[in-house]
Amino acid sequence: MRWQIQGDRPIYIQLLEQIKLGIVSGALPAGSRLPSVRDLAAEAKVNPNTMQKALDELGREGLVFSQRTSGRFITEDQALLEQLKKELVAQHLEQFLGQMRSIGLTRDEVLAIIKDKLNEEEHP
Amino acid sequence: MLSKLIKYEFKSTARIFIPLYVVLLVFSLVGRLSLSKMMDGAPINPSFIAFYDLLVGVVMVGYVLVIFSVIIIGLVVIVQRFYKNLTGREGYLMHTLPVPTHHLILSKLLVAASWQLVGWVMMFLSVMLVVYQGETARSLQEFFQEASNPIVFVFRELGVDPTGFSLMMALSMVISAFDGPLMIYAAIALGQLFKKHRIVGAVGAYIALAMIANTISSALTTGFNLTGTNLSSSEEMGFFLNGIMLLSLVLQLLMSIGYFFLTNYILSSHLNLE
Amino acid sequence: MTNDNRFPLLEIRNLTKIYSNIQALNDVSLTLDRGRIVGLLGPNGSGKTTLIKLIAGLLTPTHGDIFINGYRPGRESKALVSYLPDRTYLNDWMRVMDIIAFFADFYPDFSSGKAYDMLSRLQIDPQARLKHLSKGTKEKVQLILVMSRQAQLYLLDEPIGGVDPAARDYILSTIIGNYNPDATVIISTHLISDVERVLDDVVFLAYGRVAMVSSVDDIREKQGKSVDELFREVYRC
Repeated sequence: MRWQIQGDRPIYIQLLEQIKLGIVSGALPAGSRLPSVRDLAAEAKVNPNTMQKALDELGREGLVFSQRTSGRFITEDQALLEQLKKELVAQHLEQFLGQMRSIGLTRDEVLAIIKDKLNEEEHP
Repeated sequence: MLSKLIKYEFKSTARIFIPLYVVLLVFSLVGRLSLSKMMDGAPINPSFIAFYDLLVGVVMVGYVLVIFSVIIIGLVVIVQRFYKNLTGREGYLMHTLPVPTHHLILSKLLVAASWQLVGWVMMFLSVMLVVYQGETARSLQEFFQEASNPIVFVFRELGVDPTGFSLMMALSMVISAFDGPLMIYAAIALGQLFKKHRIVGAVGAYIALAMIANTISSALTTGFNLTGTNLSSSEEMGFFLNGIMLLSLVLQLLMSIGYFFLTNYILSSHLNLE
Repeated sequence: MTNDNRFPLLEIRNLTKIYSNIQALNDVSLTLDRGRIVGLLGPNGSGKTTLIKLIAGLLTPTHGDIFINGYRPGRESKALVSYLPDRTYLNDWMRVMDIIAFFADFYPDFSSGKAYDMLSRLQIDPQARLKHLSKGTKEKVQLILVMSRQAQLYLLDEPIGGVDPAARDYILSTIIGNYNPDATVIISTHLISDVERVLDDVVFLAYGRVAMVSSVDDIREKQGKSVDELFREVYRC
């Protein structure tokens, strides 16, 4: 996984988002075991307590569960994973649409440029 | 931990003192060889005499210089080891070790005093090596007797027991081996109390300490003098000399203890490393 | 190592330090818990080094008290504190391996294995004499010595100031990898953007006083700024 911490938003929120992205993209497959907090922190070059906080939050949301002796695992609850995916898609869409609107594009123009872009990628 | 500190102090000083003493011994041997050549009475080719005299002269001057260097370098090392290691940047390491301050001072002191004593013994051996020429058929015992006869004679005249007095002299040497470094340490520690110009402060403190030591010892001598001894009789003279010797020994010992506690107090309660 | 949790790891009460008429620290009070990585931030001359040296026991306070796990600076506290000064203190005539043996001799919590490991990672020859090392390499050696201890309180005065960016990354990873919930690390630095993500809390010093104590994410959450941005704003010239 690639970790990127930047800007001015709280670090644990950025970690949370990136782990979620990892789960959805399959970089962290359902049911797989997560590295220890210390290893994750070292990998992301962040404070271990901050990483802990992000993982605790993931646990609260049910995306990660702990087994006392063997560590933390990604949930296998498909419904939950599906929902996470939807959430992320909604989040990015909203952000994208917001930006398009601020540029001044109309609803139809947005639809058109998306179609064009997709066609372009299919037949380069 | 004290033994570990002593071990490291010994290691860091040995690399200077051991070569120094080796040089001293080598020069003593050279001195001995050139002197014995001169005194063995064998005929020397007359055309070489001037050259030979010159050679002996150079060797002897070199020897005296080496003796002086041994004394001066010894002092410099004692000052440097304390100043750099405990009040300079190396102090950042030494003063963060989990050891009490008095162990830091003691380790320096014990090693410095040992090197001083070894140095004096080495210098004595060296002089013996140069001066005592075995081939003149005197035993070492005879040699010492001859050399000490005038001194023993003077002591006897003054009513002082030579054996007792020599013992006190030896004891005084041992105390001096501690007293010298301790006075330097106390002066450096006092210098640390200055906000700036700490070296100048240390030199000033050393002069002040020396003056205080002198004043106290002359005050005590004068006081002792006023006890009404009659120095014209050899018996009272002997009593007087013995007394003075003993008194100065005790004084030296007390001053040393004072220096130690002063140094420890400053370095443990008023440390301010730059 | 006994771990006495009756006392805070570090407690500083009304600490003042005056050097020849300059007030370096002015009535500083601060308490730090175990298991934190704390940034001690402030412009030059704000008192960072003075504070660290006071905790390490190299300076004597003018007023006020310092307690490390309940001990005033002294032999007991020094066994708990691993200190990296802002200058080199190495004896020039020693080899790298000699200074490692020295640390192993005096600190029961020192791991020679860890030290040799880090030396090889940073490609430093243990046989090298310290006088032949560059300033940056000496700094790395000192950092290795400090991080190879299992101490309770690490005092790192400008640990990344003099080294190249690659070594800087390695040093920060070492600090993270060395994380121990019973130990606290204090890092003084002016390179805030480099260390920000490694820190739990920050202590801002200004003119010898504590200007702010906060967690990094609190600053980001409440102020909407990175610590680096906030710092630039607070200390704008």
